[in-house]
Amino acid sequence: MSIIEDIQKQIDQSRFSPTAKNAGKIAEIGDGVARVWGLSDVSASEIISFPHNIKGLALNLEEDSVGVIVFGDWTKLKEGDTAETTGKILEIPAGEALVGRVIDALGRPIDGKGTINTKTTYPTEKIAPGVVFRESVNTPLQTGLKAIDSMIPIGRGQRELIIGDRGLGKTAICTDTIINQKGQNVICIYVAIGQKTSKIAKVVDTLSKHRAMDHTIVVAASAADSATMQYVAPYAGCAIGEYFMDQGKDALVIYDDLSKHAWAYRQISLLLGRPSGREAYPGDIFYLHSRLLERAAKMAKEYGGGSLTALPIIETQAGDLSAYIPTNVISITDGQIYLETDLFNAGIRPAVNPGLSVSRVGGAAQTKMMKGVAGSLRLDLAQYRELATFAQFGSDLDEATQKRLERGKRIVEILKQPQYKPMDVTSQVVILWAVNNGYLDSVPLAEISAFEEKILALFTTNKKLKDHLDKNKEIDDFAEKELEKMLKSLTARGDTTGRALDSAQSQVDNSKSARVKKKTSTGGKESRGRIPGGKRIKKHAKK
Amino acid sequence: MKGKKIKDLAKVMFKKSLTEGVVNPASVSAVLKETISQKPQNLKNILKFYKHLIESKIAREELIVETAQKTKEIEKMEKELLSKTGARRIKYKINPKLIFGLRITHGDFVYDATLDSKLKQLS
Repeated sequence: MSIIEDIQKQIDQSRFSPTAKNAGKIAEIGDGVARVWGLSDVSASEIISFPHNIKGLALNLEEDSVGVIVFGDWTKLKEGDTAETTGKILEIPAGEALVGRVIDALGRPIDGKGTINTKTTYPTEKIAPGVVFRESVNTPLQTGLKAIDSMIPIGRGQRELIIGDRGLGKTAICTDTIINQKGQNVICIYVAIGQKTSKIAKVVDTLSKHRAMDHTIVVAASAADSATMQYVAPYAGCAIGEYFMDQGKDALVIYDDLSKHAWAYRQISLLLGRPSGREAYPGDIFYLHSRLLERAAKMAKEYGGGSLTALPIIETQAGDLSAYIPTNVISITDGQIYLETDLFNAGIRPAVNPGLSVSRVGGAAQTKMMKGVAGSLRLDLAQYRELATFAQFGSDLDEATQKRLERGKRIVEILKQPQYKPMDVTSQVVILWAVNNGYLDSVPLAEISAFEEKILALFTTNKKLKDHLDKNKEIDDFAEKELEKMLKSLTARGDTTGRALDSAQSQVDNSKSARVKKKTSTGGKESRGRIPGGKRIKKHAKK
Repeated sequence: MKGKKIKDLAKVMFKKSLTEGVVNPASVSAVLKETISQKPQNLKNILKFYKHLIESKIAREELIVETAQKTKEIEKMEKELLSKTGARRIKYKINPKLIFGLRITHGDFVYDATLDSKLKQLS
C-alpha cells in the first residue's frame, strides 16, 4: 500500500495547469522542409513539434505560412498533420559529461556508450560576448607544429582559418592540434560537417589511439545526415564550447568544414524559397559564418577569463582563394593558414605556405623565446624563397647567396614534421635556435631529421636547460650558453656521422677544385674565381 | 501562374466573400460560381488556398469546446468565453475518450485542460 500512497502523494503534489498551444497544419512537406499553415503565434527559431515525436525549427515566418526545417525523418510526416509550437528555442545539452563522447548535432550520443547525463543546456544561437566582456588575445594555443607555432602563432580566443584544397592535410593539422592539447587544460570540440562517416570514424579512432579523446568532444553531422543537421552542427559545437568558456576554461572548436556548412545552408534556403544571390547562396551567407565565428572570444578576467578558440576549415576548389565563401571567411577570421598543393607534392608537410599564411593577433600571444627565434626564421625563409626562384636562372652565385640558399633549404627541411608527432614549445625553440645560429649548416640535407632527433634526445637529458626554458620562457644569456655548449658537443660528436659525410663531400669538392686549378690555374677560393665572371656581367650590363 | 499570383487571386476572392468582416455563405457560393466560370489557370491551387483562408477565418469565428460530457457549468461559462476570445459562436464536440476536462480550440490556439494533457505534464 505504501507504494501506491507514495505515487498518490506525488500526483497530489504536482501542479497541473491548462496548457495553451499554438497549432497549425502541414500544407506541404518535402526534402526536409515543411510549409505550415496556422502557427500565428510562432517566434523565429522556435522549436516546432510534429507527430511521431519529430521536431522542427521555424526559420521562415511569412504572411500566411511558416517555413519549418525538420530534424529527423520527415518522410513520416504528411500533409494535414498538426504542428505545434513549444515555446522553446533550440538548445543543446552541455557539460563535463560530454567529454570523450561522440554526439550528433542535437546532442544525442551516437557512439553507443549509453546516455549522457548533463544538467545544463545551452542555446545553439547566442549573441557573441560584447566588447566589455572581452580582452585581447594573450595566451598561446600551441598546435605542436613548428611551422605554425613559429610563424603563424595562434592565441587562445583567436579565429584562425585553415584553408586549402582537398587532401592537403587540413584535418591532419587539426588532429595534431587536438593531440597536442593533452595536459594543457583545453577542451577540444571537433565538429564534422557533411563529411564521410568513414572519415569521422577515422578521426575518432586516431584521437582515441593517441588518448586525445579524454579531452575531446566530437559533434558529427555526416554527409548522410540531413542538411538541417549539418546546418545546426557548428552552432551546437560552439554552444558546448561556450559552456566551457563560461566555466572559466579554455576551449577549442574545430569546424571541419565550413564550405560544406555553406552548401547545407544554401540547400535549406533554396528549399525555403529564399531569394538566391551569388553562386546561388542566400543573402545572409556572410552573417551565417560571421555570427558563428564572432562567438570565439577571450573573456576578461572579471568575467571568468575563459576562452573559445575557433579553427574553421575551408576547402578550396583548385586553390581558388577568391571564391565567394573563402573570401568571406578570410575576412571574418583573424588570419589564415594556407596549404598549397605544390608544397605538398614537393614533400613539404605540413604544406603550409608561409608567404600567404598570416596570423593577425597571435603574435601578441607568442612566448618571448619563440618570438626571438621566429622573427629571423620568417625573414630567412622569405629571402630563401626569393633567391630560390632567382637561382634557377643561373648557376654562378656568390658565397653569401649560396649560404643563404643552404640555410633556407635547412629551414624548409626542419619545418617538415610527421603526422601525429606534435612537439612541445621548448623543443621547437631549441631546434629553431639551432637552425638560426647555423648549427645545421654543415649537416647534409638528407640527415636533417636524424640530426633533429639527436638534438631533441640531448635536450631531454639536459634537465637544467629544459627547466630553465620552461620556467623563464626566454632565451637569456644562461640559456644561450647552455644551448651553445649542447649543440657544440653534438656537432663535435657529429663528425663521426653527419660531419663525416660532409667532410668527405668537402674533400671531393677540394679535389675537384684542385683539378680545376690545374686546368685553369685561376687559383684561390671559389668566390675569388667568380669575381671576374661577375665583373663581366656588370660590363655587359653597362654596354 | 506563379505562387504569388495564385495567393493574390485567392485573397481577392476571400475579401469578396466577407460581409462586415464575417464569412457570408451566400457570397462564398457566388464567388465560387464566378471563379469556376472564368476557368483561370491553376484553379485547383487557387481553390485550395481560398479554402485555407475561409477555414482559418471560420476557425477564428467559432470556439470548439471538446468535452466528454456537456455540463451546466460549461454552459454557464459560454458568455465569458465568447467575450474573452472575441469569437461569435460555440460549437460543442462530445468525445467520451477525454474522460474529464475540456479542450478549447480557437483558430490556431488550443487550450488544453483534459486528463490527457495533465498526464502528459506528469511524465
